[in-house]
Amino acid sequence: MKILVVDDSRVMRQIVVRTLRQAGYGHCDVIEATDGRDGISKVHSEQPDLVLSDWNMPEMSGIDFLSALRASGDDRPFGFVTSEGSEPMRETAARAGAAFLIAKPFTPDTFRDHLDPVLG
Amino acid sequence: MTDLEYGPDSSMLVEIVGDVFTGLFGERYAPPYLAAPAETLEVSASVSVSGGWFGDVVIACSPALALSAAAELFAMAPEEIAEADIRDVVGEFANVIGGNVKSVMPGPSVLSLPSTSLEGIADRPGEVEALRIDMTWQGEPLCVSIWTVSGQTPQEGDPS
Repeated sequence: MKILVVDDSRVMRQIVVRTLRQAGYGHCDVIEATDGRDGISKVHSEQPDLVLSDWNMPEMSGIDFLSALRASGDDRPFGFVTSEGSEPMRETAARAGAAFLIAKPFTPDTFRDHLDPVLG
Repeated sequence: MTDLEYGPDSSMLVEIVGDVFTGLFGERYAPPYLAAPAETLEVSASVSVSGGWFGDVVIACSPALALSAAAELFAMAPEEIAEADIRDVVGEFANVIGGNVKSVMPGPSVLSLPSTSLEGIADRPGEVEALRIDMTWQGEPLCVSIWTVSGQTPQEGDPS
């Protein structure tokens, strides 16, 4: 099982990876990307089973990243981990094809609640 | 003090900051609590909200707080922490606190990427400091403030 973590903040990528471990996904391979453009490249080269992406990033935002994947026919599970969890953002994410949106700050329990149904 | 027409009051902002710190650092550290204003707030970061509401969310802290927070979050010794690491950490503080503040403001709005400074809080011409909380965390000062253009009315914006 391979998970791609996409965030322009190095410390946030580290926190997400640590939370994945605490949530019981320590057995998964975790790879990282620094923005949506890098994320597309890593999706192609690494073929992750799940993408966890920030929303607000330079170069290419998370929502543009997701839209580009879906437009290319890529329907792999994609979830947002972002600093805002308002209802309009959740609706925008769902319409674009996201499986879930986790708002920062988060806990290992939050990760389990959202990732378990997706990763089985 | 609050001159905000919408959004959080000081107690809600304290709660947001506490939740963010607990989320980032876990339960091993008590969350920040209210304290007297301090002058050693050289490290700062801000994000701007524009759309349904226009304003800035600013976090400022002492260099010692920024260094210890970065060392803790990167799991590195303080002497291994680079300036870029400190900017990354305080920028993420502003991003997460700003995103939570944006959630309770009129929307839809767009949240900017964080900008950081090691020389204190930048001047904000045309804006007023509508809400400010001075806190302490691990014995070091921390300040969170919300700046806005007074008298604005909600406008339509693009969701982000």
